Amino acid sequence: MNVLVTGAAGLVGAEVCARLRKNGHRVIGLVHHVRTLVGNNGRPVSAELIPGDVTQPRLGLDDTIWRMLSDEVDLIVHSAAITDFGRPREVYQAVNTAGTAHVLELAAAANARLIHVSTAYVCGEQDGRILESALDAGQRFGNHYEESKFEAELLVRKAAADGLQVTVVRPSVVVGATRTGVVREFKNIYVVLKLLSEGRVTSIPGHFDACVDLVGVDHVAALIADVVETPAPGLTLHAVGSPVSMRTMSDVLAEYPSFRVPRYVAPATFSPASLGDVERMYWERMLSLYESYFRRRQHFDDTVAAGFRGHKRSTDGPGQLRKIIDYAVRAGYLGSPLPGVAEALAGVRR
Amino acid sequence: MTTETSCYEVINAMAPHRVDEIGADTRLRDELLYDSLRLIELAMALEQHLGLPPLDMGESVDVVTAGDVVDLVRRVRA
Repeated sequence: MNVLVTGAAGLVGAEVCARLRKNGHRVIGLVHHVRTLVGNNGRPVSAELIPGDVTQPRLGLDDTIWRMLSDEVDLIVHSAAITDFGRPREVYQAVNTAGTAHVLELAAAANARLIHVSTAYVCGEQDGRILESALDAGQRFGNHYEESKFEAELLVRKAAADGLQVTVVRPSVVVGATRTGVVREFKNIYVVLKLLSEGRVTSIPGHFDACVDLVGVDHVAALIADVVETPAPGLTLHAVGSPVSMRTMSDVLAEYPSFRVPRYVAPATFSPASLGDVERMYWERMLSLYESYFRRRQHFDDTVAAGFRGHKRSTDGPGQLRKIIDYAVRAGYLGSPLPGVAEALAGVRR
Repeated sequence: MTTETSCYEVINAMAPHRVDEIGADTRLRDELLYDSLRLIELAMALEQHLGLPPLDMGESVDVVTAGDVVDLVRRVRA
């Protein structure tokens, strides 16, 4: 098959490319800034690369390339997205929502099947068991990212109703490889773990029984590769691992002698104004973006996905957390903090 | 001390990888190994050291080199 992968250079995108190449497909990667693909294990991935920009009509491609893709592409894996937090709302709308609209145009022009990579967190701040079939429940969103991915899914569902063959894959929080914890970039939850373990932020408003779901990048890529081989039109699949509670996160952090462990305070009594100047800056600029995750009690049902998987998912959340922390420590990201702001400034002439 | 010299000193003090001399063309990510988090911390350090209002050093603005940081600081001071 001729497969176009958008966001081919991303953590999930590159892993998908590697698996599709291994399965004998022709892989065309749409890339923005990057000009080479590197798998999560650090090895190069060979694929035809096309520079493009999902925020632009026709993905910013010239007529020749657009026509070539419309003629030749059988399947599109749409994994291009801004996934880190803290950017302006317009950026998420342009890349995640309008970007999906532009990809849907290509899918229609090419009469190609689409695998849309969404997020389990389109559920927003709803608590409880989240079904794969659920989407719009009038939920509130924790940040612009979730909102933009929700709106993208609405566009995808509309295209499906109009006849496009679509499968939606919703990963939870994507982390390092299930078996080894290896990851080639430290973002999102890794930043949270760094700020907490280094004691930059010492108290967070949350509940001990709140939980986040961690899934290895290999599991997400493998599920997408499975859906490439076994079409699942009209279905939405949760690519999730297993939940890790805030209590577990504290317990696991406490296992590392050099780590600090955050104190949880009742959300109603937390006030950023009571924090010191530097800690308040860390809170306001970084951790507050993740605030609602410390309060959510969500469990993602993956019954539908289980039917399409050729492999078992990890069910050991605490084990997975230890593995990703162990790797981040080995890689020097965690456990060897750089000087803090005050410490660094102490050596600078005024 | 000029704005330029002060900025370079703070950039080097906060850098994950320090170099002998910082110039306008020194690249924050490629040469000094700054990542997104450390860039936000750099903004905090500059604000404290130079008494500035909050600096936006997120990825939505184009801060690639030490010279870009100096320009940003001059803009918020203007």
